[in-house]
Amino acid sequence: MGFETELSERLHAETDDAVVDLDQLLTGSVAYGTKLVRRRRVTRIVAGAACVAALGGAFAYAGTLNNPAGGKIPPAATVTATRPEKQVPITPQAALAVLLELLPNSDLAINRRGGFDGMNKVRGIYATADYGTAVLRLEIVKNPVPYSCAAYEAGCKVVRLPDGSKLRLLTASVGGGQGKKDIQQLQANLSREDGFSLDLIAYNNAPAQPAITLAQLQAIATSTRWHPRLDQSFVAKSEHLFRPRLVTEPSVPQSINSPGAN
Amino acid sequence: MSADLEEFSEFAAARGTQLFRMAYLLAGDRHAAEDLTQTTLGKLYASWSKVSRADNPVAYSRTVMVRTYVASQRRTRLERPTAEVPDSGRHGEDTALRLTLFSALAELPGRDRAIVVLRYWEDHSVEDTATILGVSSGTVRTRSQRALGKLRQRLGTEISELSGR
Repeated sequence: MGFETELSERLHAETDDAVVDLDQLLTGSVAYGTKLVRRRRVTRIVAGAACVAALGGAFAYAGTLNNPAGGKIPPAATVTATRPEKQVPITPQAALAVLLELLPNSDLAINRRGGFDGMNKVRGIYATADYGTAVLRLEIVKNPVPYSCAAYEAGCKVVRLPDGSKLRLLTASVGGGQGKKDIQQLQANLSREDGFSLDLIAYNNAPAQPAITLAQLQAIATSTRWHPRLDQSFVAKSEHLFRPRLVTEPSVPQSINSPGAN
Repeated sequence: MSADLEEFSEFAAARGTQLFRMAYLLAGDRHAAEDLTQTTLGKLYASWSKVSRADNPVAYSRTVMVRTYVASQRRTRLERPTAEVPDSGRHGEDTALRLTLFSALAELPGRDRAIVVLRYWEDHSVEDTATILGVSSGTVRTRSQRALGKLRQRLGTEISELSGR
């Protein structure tokens, strides 16, 4: 057997049994890809601004050539210094507005509600959207303690993302109660380095045709749209979504047509 | 977003393991291989609309991985230790050979190592390898011969003895 054939066989033998956690790879890849897209967008904006500035300069220079000495130099391209918009703290309605931006088929999400959670454990805001066959609850938590996986949670794992955030992903089955079929519970709990923490909890009443998937929760949780402060106009526009409530009891997503939903 | 993500997830699930194995041979240890695979898939996700329209997304992903690896080697060449100890997470009767094989591969320059992996693990022709790496066929032939010479010198006897042949 020639050396090249032996080498080829050895290379295959080295890797044939190498396996990798694909879910973890996927989560990290999507987060990194999203970062690349954002960076590309910023570069494009900066390049565009530089181009406008250069053209403005060129026009101004051309103006000086056309005018006699001492002539008044016409203004270069109109430069409107756009002041960055004022940022205000995220509200429950704004949190839901961001969530609806990121949700697939968000127009199907009904029974939107939310408020400020007064429990010591949460101390943040929450918003809930109901798909009929599924319900999704979002909590933005202050001073969070990063989640971990208990030994008995087989469908649970914690992933560290490239930006240092920790993301816990959980798939579990919970009893439907009163003889009903089991419900699928999905969770994506993100603890970011900047102290911002976000919990997404979804319940699929029909796990065979889930309205919400774990991949979607991952994508929502790791989106770059989440910030503790948002544009004032965005927050103002979202005010009409619901009237926030102060919750003093632990609140869990309720099924559709439950008395508390409005 | 959703359709793209789903499509990308399917692609990553189908191709992730193979890409990881290639990364493992290129990078030499599990952790670096995971990083390389994640970077490659991240780049693919960032350009998914383009990738999904490509004639052969699998070939595209391979090209992205190899070029990412070669570029990273170029950047870190001066910092890298000359002989890395590969990840010892796996055990088996031929651990000694694995260490020897990986340390021999680690001694090759990044591009030569990529050529070895593409030619002798992925069984690509000289022309295909040249296309993937963006170099001429002549360069692939020359570098391939040089890399094989080094490997033969390092592994010539051990590759047969240690694998029991």
